Amino acid sequence: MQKTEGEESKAENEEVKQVTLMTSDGVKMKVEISIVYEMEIVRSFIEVNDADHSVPFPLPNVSSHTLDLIIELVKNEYDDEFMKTFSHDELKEVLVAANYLNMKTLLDFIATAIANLLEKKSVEFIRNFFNIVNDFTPEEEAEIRKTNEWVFQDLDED
Amino acid sequence: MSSEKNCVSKLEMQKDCRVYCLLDLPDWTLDCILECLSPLDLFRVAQVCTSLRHKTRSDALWEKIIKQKWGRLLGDVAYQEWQWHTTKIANTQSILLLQQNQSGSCGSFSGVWPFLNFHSYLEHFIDLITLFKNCSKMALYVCLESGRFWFPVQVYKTANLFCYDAIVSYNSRTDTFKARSPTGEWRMIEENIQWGRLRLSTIETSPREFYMSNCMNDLKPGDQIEIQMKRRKESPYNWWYAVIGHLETCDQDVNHCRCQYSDKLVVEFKQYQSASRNKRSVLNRNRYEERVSLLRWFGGIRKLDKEEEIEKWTKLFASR
Repeated sequence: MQKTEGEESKAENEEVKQVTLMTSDGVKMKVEISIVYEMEIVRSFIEVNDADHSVPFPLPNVSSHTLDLIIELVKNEYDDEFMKTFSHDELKEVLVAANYLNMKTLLDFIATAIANLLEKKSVEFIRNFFNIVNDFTPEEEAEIRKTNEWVFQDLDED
Repeated sequence: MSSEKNCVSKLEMQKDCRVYCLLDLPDWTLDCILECLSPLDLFRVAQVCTSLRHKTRSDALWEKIIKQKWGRLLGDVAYQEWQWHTTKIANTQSILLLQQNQSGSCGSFSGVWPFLNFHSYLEHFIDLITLFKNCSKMALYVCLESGRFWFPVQVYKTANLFCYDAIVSYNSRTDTFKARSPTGEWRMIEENIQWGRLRLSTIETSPREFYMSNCMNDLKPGDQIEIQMKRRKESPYNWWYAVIGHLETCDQDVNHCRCQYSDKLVVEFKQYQSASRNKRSVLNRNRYEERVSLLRWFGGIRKLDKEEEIEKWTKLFASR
């Protein structure tokens, strides 16, 4: 992957077609067109307009760090091992970005990874992970715990 | 990471690192995650907040889960009966009326409302009434997994190669079923039944009715069939595996065999020893219920044309 900063743009590599993307933190990144094509939001734009690829396509909702991770994931054909190095925040950022960029394969992949992470975790862990505040009234909380007891009364403890 | 990248100040990075609340995502993104979770995890996620409780109880989510595990056994009939039970319960104003019975089952297997009008039974449901009303698919899953919902299926009898109609209840701990028979006031007949011994009823005819088939005139030697048979006139029929055989007068040479055109139909049961008088029965091709001996009443015939059905019987025969 090549990156350029403003005027210091290197000569364009003619062999691999690239598209310049501008991330939310102002970094211009040249990305191979095969990877860009997975981003529906960019693809639809460049296909329709047959645009000048040297003009950076703005991605106001994706940071350069997140875009780096996404590009590496796509290049590595969604390698589980690579993704295991992600922090929880990185996972969430990639999920949000995949949603924004409309990358279906990535979205499925990352959703599965997050589901695996949540497997058998405590309610408190899930709350922290998603930044969710417990909005149950004590009564509701007791009710839902009771429901789960009914559900699991014949099941083993997990 | 490139050197240019490092130029971005720490402050900017910080600013960029938004606090994501997953609930801000579109529903379908969150659904992608929820669809990957097991039922146990979904129940746990439901305890996180009201919004997730609502999302983890969606019918679409549970329909998929039910189809995956129960689709093979839960037929339209069972599903309709489930709806009938839960609608009736949800519409019953007085909880007291439902609670009259201490077990919370409201009734017994003797067949009084609300539970055994058809061929299914719902027990210990009092605590789940709210779920019936608000999230019926999840409630169905809970009732199947916890064995509260007794639903109709057919059970293979391996030793004699036949299937009987029953209602079964699942035990998640042992991953097996117990069965009650429609005869004798739904008495318990079997426990520890494995998944492989159950199948969805193949036809809609009740086990007490003669099955009218349109294959009778086409049946020829070698055809694999299931035939209704019962021991007593008042009993329900079971479905027995059998093969159409040749008449005694036939030399079994394909060039001469006219058995297909005879009014007589030879039915052979390979599960019986060759010396047994039950091994072979000669029936009228155009007939209604037929009693061939003291304890053998024959009903309708279903020709097996699905490869997997024949394979199942072949496997059961080999495993005896």
